[in-house]
Amino acid sequence: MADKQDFLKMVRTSLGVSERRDIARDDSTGYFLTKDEVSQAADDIRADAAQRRSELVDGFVHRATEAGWKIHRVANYEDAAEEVTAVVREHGAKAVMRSDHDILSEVPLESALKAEGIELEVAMREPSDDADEDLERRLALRETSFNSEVGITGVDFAIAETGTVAMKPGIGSSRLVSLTPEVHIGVMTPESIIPSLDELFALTRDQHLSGEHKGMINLITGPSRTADIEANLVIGVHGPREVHLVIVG
Amino acid sequence: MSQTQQIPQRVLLFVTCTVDQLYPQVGESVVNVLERQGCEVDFPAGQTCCGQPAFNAGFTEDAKVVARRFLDVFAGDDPIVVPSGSCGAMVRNFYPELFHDEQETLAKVGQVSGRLYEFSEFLVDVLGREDLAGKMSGSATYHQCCHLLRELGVDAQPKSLLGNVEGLEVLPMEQSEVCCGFGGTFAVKFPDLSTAMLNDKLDNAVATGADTLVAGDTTCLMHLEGGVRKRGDALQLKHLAQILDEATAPDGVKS
Amino acid sequence: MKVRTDEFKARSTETTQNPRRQASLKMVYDGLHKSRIAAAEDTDNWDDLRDRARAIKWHTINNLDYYLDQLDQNVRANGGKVYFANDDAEARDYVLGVAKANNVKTVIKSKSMVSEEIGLNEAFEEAGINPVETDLGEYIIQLAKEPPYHLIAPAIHKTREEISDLIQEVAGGPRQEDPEDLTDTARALLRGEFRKAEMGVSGVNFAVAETGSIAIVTNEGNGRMVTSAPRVHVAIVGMEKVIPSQQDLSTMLRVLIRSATGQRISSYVTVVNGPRKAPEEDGPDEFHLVIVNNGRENLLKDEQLREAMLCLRCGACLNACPVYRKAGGHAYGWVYPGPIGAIVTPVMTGKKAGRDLPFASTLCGACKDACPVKIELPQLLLRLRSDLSEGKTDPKEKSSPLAERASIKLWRFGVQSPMRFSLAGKLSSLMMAPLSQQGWVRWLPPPLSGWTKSREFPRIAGKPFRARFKKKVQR
Repeated sequence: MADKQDFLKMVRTSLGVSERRDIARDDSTGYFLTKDEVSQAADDIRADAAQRRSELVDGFVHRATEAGWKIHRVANYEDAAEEVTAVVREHGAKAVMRSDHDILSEVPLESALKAEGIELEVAMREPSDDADEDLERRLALRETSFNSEVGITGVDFAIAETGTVAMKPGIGSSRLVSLTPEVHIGVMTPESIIPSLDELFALTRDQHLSGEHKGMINLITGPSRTADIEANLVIGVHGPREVHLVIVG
Repeated sequence: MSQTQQIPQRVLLFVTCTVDQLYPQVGESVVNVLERQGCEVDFPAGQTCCGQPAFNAGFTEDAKVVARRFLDVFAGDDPIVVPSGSCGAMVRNFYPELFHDEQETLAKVGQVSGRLYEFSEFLVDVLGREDLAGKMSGSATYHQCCHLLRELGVDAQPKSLLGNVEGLEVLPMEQSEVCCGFGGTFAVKFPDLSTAMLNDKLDNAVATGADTLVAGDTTCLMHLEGGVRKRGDALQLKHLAQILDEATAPDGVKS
Repeated sequence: MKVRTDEFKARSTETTQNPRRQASLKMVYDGLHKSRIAAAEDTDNWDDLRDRARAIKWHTINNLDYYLDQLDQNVRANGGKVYFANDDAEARDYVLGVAKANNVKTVIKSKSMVSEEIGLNEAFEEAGINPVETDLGEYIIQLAKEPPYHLIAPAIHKTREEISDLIQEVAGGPRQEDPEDLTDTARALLRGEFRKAEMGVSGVNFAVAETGSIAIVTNEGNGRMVTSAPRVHVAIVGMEKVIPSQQDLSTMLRVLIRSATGQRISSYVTVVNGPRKAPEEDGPDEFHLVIVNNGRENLLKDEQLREAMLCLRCGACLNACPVYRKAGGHAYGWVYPGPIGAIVTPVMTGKKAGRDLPFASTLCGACKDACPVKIELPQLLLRLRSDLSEGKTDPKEKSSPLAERASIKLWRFGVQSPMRFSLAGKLSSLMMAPLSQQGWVRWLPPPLSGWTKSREFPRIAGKPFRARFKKKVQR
């Protein structure tokens, strides 16, 4: 059986290093930034983003469109609900699921979809202290996700450099709600937009160091795609075929 | 456009073993062109080879023996001109690697490689001549030899010299930067791969409609010309020096 | 995977004679290679990015013990398990053990080159477990029962007709040839597997030491499926894939993705941080990270060859390589083809059997230009040539044929004196005379007969340059 110490010993021997060591700060990597440095950087990012809001929105919309997102700009949450409903209607979808992201509590989706005769599912289970029961409920939720035709979520960050949205699973936000349906609709505000991948990972690092963010993060840029058959680009493989972003404000 | 130099620049010619033994006419063209540009060309008769064949085959100790002798043959102060990207790269880029742990030899390497120029690089970067006022009819297309392009970074210079030949139509070639498939012993060790690459290159050259394929290394030219002769393409192969020699020859005098 | 490096010559020749393969390989230049170049030109500070990525990797490799230790600690702090596998058998056995402990019947896999190294699929099948590749290209070659042809586009050699046949065999129904239809069918087939699989096995593009996370880059969405839907997730990673901080991910992702496909970013980048945390609605209950050696230490322990550990497995060197584009991926005989394969395969699996690989290059340098982390690939190839020809680092590795060594000695003797050199030239010229027409020879004896199969050879000049040159002053 492989032993960690033996393995590390093999690595050290290979490097010509005799024993375990701590290493000196090297700024070719971000690893050595202190908690304070990271925290300060995060504050700067938020301040800078607030100042450059409209520029960032333009940049994001440009890149996101390029990447295959269909962008809807709306003035308020009611209009957002209408846009979402229109997409659902367009697809003739009946099985619709949403996450329980904060922003979605502002959007009157339930009523809008009910008017179309659609019962909106929420990507949330009633947790149970009994492990088996909890697993059963999670499996049931998984099944519902696989059967959904449209998934509606919030977003945690939006990245202007690449037209990407970043989403973290949490309570009421499953991994699958943005993955299994054929159509994914994200609802967001301009305040989520940051300039680039650098800022994203600086912010997530800040969250990580302050104990906030322990979970995974998904970066999503456009619909799913492949070019595995004679290098022909085909849109819509295992993930959604069509993706929308409704930007409120 | 720069002025003609008043004082003949003395240069040492590193002609390369391939030019010496297989393409002497290319060496003559190099001398003609340099002399017409006002240079006094000297040929250190002790020269034979830079050692690249052994180096590429993995026989570094043998390559070092040959290289050390090369450094002595070319000791001095005058610029050294070589009509080859691969031999030039051997001295400039690979000698320092070969002798990385021999301080004394490394100093000699610096002294020699610091004065070593590829032929087109010498004309353009040292003499400051991009236009040799040459004239020639016909059409040509240019193959970018790998070591010249990627090891020495010499590309704009030969293209400029070629492009400035009045009357010569220079046609672009598909995949001109892709290797011709020579690669030294590769051509003999992996003949089927080498031939497949050769055929691609010649097909691309023929497709341009040019009557001549021009390149800066006689090793590539020997492989390409050998292929043309077997295939029967209507394509001439010339070293850049030969084009420039013909283009700048005084009327009625051909070398 | 079985090592077939000694078959390079025969298999590469076969590929050059196969028009369908040649047509697919031409698409590598027109598609992937050109896309990378376009992406690089479109990126303002591309060269600077490459330098930064290289610096991050070098720093990590030079302190690999430290970062692997951190990675292990942080994965476990996240509730994950870590297994250090010294070789393919240990890695295989561990993963099988996890599958058996969880009564797994179906395993869904997203792309993992290391899983190919260790022969994981065969091991699953032997144990009565069904492994299903979910990356479309990997799925296609799984159906074809072939190894991958390329690092990121494993089925790049298959024509749509061949793919149609494969999919029809499995799906039944009418034959489809449109790529969209074929993809839809594959999607439907794999959907069923995603729903029921108890375990997901993924590869890893970057393992982040500071957080114990792994980053997976995909376009299809299968990477997300495999790491989100099943109850158990096993990630397999080569020990060189660790990076220090998540803040290094921005640089690494930028250079990796542009170099692999020419995209600014892939459709999905999934950063997994161990198993699901209690309140989360879904996600695996178990996360295992298997860190694999399997011969990588042979690269690591050599100061020069260590540079090969910088490799991101992006495939850019393959796309740029004129030899790969003729020989095809299978000829290289193992998991990694192209220039990087010609280096790591012999070092990891045996230099003698793989001795053709470092010589199967013209040293044109296109690979070095293409590499996002500026690995000196031609230099490493030359180093292996010297190992094989001279036994530079280890005399036992010397395996050059006697005839070759003898001819180098002869050549050296000849070029150490201009007189001997000239004499040799004169003699050769004389010997070639009866064979030549118009200064060209149509046949040469072995070993040079390889040349004259397809080319003529110039006759050595009767009067070489040195005999013609007279100093201007002396005329």
